[in-house]
Amino acid sequence: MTDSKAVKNNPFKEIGKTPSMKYGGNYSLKNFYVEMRDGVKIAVTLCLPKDLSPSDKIPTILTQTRYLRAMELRIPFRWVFDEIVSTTPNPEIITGRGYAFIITDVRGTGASYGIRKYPFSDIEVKDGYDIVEWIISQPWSDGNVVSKGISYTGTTAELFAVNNHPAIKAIIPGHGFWDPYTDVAFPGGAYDHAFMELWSFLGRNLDLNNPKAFREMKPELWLYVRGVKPVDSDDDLELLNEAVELHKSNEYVFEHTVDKSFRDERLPDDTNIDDLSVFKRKPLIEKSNIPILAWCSYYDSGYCDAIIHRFLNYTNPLICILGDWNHGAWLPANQFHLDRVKVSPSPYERINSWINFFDQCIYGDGIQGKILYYYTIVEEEWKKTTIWPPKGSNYQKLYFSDNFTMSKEMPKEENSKDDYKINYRSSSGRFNRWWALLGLPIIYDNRAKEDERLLTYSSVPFTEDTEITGQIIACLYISSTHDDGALFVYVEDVDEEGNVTYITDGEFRVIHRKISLEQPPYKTLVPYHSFLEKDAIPLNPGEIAEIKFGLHVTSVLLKKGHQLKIAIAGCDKDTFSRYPSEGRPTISVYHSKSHASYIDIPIILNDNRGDN
Amino acid sequence: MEGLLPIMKEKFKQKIEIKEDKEKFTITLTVKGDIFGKFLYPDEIPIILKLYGGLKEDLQMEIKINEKEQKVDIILENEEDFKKIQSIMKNLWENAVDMLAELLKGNYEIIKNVPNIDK
Repeated sequence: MTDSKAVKNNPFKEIGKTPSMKYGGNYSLKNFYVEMRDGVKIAVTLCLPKDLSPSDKIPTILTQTRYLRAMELRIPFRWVFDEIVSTTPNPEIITGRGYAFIITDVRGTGASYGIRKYPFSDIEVKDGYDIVEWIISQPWSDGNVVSKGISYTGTTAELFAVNNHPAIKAIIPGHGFWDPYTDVAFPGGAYDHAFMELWSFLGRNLDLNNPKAFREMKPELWLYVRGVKPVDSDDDLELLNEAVELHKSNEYVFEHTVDKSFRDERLPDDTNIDDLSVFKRKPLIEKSNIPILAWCSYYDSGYCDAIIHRFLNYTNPLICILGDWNHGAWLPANQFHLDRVKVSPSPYERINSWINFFDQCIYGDGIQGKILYYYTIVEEEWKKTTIWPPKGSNYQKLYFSDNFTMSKEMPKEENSKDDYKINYRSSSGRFNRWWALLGLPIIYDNRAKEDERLLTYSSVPFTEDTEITGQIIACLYISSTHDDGALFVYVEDVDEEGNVTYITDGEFRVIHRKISLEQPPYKTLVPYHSFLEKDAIPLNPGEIAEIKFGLHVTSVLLKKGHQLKIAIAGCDKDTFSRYPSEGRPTISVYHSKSHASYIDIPIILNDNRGDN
Repeated sequence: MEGLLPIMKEKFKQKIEIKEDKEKFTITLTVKGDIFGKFLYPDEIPIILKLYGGLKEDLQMEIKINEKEQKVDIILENEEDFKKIQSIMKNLWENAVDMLAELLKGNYEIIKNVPNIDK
């Protein structure tokens, strides 16, 4: 978590002043269906301020989820408490600040009717338009609608803009992908088997209104949640059961992706994974020119890079935030401060900041231009920039050398290499950035022990505090005994006592190594790999190949006296598919004059640190 | 939910009245005041007895729900079963809160022996 004392440039302090509540904080609650253009009924939960007078007109915050818009609690909890959505903080804050709050189950999920073949389909996105039409026809609506969310609901909030409805005034996508292939399903072309399987398991059980998914994945919820909340008129659950019956025809991404490798492989309805993406819908989102506030954490899957891609690609008025919490910012995740207990900003501060942003877009002058707030870990300071990479960014190479060291000097000898037999027991654990997508804590712990299984290279101690901000590039010259494989490159800080702290990492399946000269589908600052089937190149066993790829964005201060350590694995057994699926390759990593493996580090030169 | 833990036990005690009729092997729960959503689904009593009460077996019981009065009669078949449920009911709400507190701390062992109550 960010240091709560870090005030300067803190976005949560800068995004408006929180005014006093307009309403008392009590709210009325209704659950009902709204019919879409094709007759499919979408379940809606509506919260309105209880003391709203008949003449009052207010804006609406909309969240569209696939994780149950409202939960029906088990007894005795239901007899006493009204926790409608466990992951949404306090409808009383939203209604108290003068907004209606609407949560919907997207079609094919929760208590909604319909069938879904894959997430974020065009028809699912289009439902947002029909919901807006319904909202602005209500007597309490002032005709303004905004949307926010985290993870799935973050993406539905972002894709809400695709509808180009004039009532939509702002969106806040939190912790969502930009490119589902690289950000979550196939980071670096390696299949995130664990998440994809668990997410599909969770989705299937939620869609069937079976709480057993919670028992496996969120036991504390399972203890008090019975399932989705039916609509108010559905006393005998007839409607809910009818909807759930339809969900039995749903399809799930794991089944469609587990045997796939390439970006252009087909999903249902002749789609591919890009059709689910945000980047492919960029032209429509830009056409809306809706102000966007997008936020995430360095430690969250590949979604951290999605923030950079939004910043580099959108023309919309834009605020981006990169912090150091877990997926959704429910828990602190700063690996240099694992002792911290409370997350900063608190969920209360956060929701108020988001409403401040909405206020600014509805009642104020909106926002102009682009700004990126980023938190530098270890330095524990917020910074802001209007350009990326930030001012003063300068790539500096560290070359792999003999005796498992790294040096600024290029190797002078030929034929220097290190052989490494892949250890298929190596793992970054189940509290890593990928499992984090399930809302888990992020804990890499001291990696000294794990590194014993890996091939590592360490720098000399740094002679001054050094800020790394951006995406490190790994360029490895390798040969292998096999034609397929994956590389997992961990970047670590080693202190004077030998404690090894995770900074970031990157993963890459070697058959995707061709650096494409074609136009990428969006601007990126790392080597562009198409991940298309036509560009796949198996390794020729024994032949040296260049594998060059970007790691996940970070901003961290390396303290004087600390060393930078690179640890290379050939698998991450608890998370990713194994490449090759059989056999145990030995790879050679070259650090010779003609094949000088290195990492390229975006260092912020001292003169520019904190000067953005 | 986490923030509500300290007041939960007291709230349950205030809100839920438990009466027993030893002659009729009946335990009656009455919930006072407003509730949030449906009073009770027929399958819920056996579920909470297993989930929060540690009941391992499927006991025969008749569940008579009076939605309007927010009252449910749990009618057991014999004295042995009645005593079993009577004993469970004594600490049922406290157990629910204690289990939730443990799960929120990450102690998932606490539910290891709960039988399958899901579909």
